[in-house]
Amino acid sequence: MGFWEITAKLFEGFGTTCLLFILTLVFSLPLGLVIAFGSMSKFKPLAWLSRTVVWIIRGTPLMLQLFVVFYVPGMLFGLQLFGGINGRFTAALVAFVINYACYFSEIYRGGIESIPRGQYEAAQVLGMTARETFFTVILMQVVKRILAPMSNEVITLVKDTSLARVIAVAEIFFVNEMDFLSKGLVWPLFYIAVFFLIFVGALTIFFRYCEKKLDYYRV
Amino acid sequence: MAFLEVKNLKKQFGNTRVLHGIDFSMEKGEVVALLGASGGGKTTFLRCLNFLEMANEGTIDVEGGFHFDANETYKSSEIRNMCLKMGLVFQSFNLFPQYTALENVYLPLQLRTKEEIRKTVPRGKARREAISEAHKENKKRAEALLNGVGLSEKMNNYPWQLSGGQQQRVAIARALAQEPAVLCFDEPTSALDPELTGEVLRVIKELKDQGRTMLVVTHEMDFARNVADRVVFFADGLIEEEGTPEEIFNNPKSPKTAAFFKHSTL
Repeated sequence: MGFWEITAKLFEGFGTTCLLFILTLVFSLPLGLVIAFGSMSKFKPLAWLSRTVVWIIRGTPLMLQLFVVFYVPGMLFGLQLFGGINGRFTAALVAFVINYACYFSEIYRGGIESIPRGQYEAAQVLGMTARETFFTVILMQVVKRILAPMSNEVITLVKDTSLARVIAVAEIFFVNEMDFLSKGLVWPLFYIAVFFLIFVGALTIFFRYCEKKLDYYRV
Repeated sequence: MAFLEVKNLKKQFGNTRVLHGIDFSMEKGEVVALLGASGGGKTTFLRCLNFLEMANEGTIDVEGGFHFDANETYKSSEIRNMCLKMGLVFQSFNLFPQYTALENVYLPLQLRTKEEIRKTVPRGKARREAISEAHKENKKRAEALLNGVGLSEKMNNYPWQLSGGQQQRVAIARALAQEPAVLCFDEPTSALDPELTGEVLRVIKELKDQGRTMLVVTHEMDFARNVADRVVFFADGLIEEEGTPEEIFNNPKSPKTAAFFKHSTL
């Protein structure tokens, strides 16, 4: 097999990895905020429920969660949720979104709870509603505070996408191993390393750019 | 009835009683200094007046403003309207760090006018125009207020670029923007270096000359003596003594007051 053939194959896997990465972020970022609000709720049963979910998801391996999402609906309930290639991808996406939303929720919660009481009090005496307070006063301060831990988590996600192979989603690693390793080719492994390095490098630059952009205020 | 009238105000946190029934009143344009040792309930009293704490018992009345009775329950929108009648300047300024000085003063104003416009003007072009009109006016007002506290040069600076004294002056302008009936100060200079307290106290003095009604918790004895019309001395959750600065400073009747001054002048 020639270089270009292999490159073409790898790019197929690369596309799947990117798509999984982006869609996971699109869904887990807002879902994480919802879970964070759940965990901070004054309504105790809801807070208890959210925290239990976070505990379970953070307390079990992501690989196990992938298996559970993919196999359990069919095996226990006879549901055909994730049939075909697209189904496998969807199952992986669902597992990633739930997993990452839980991690994000704790980052959000930490960020929100670290904002000094005085900011809420100032907003209250100025007659702001709870919603106005959150969106005009609190949110941007939280964003600035959580940027560093978020970048960590997002970079971890890039590499975690390779776990999708356990339910046979053809992300970059899966494509690679199937076709080349068995033929004794080693260099595609380095190829993959370069791919991840470039991906993470781009993210690092992106996050640094965001930090610079938010440099105008200090919290 | 007085301009601000507080009757039998009580507050406790768990089993700790902090305010034991405060009766207090002040007239329009009056400047009252609240003095007393830490833990005496001064700050809790101010926080109750601004609804940051809900009193357990008692009433608060502001002439032409609101009537609050601790035995009744209020909707959050009603509480907000009462909050707007009172202003509070914090010890630690509490400016919003991501906004410039001008935005800090202007944004809360704009949110309130927007809310008003949404209630009265139907959705569409008319509303958008009304909002942008209000935007211009509010901005002008915020500029004038910052001018008034001597910060016209610093309007577009962010809080971290300002000294503590400048930040506190922005906070004062921000509190004034909502035209509160009574403006409260919770130890406005306690977080400031000594050389910066003067500029803040000067601003408060100017506000007095403009006829603002102000209630100031302070440890600045000179300020209380020279600026306040009346001094109220808090001890153990009660008003121990009140009177003109001369009476209280020169001739305290209560032994607690006398002991406090003895220690604080040392």
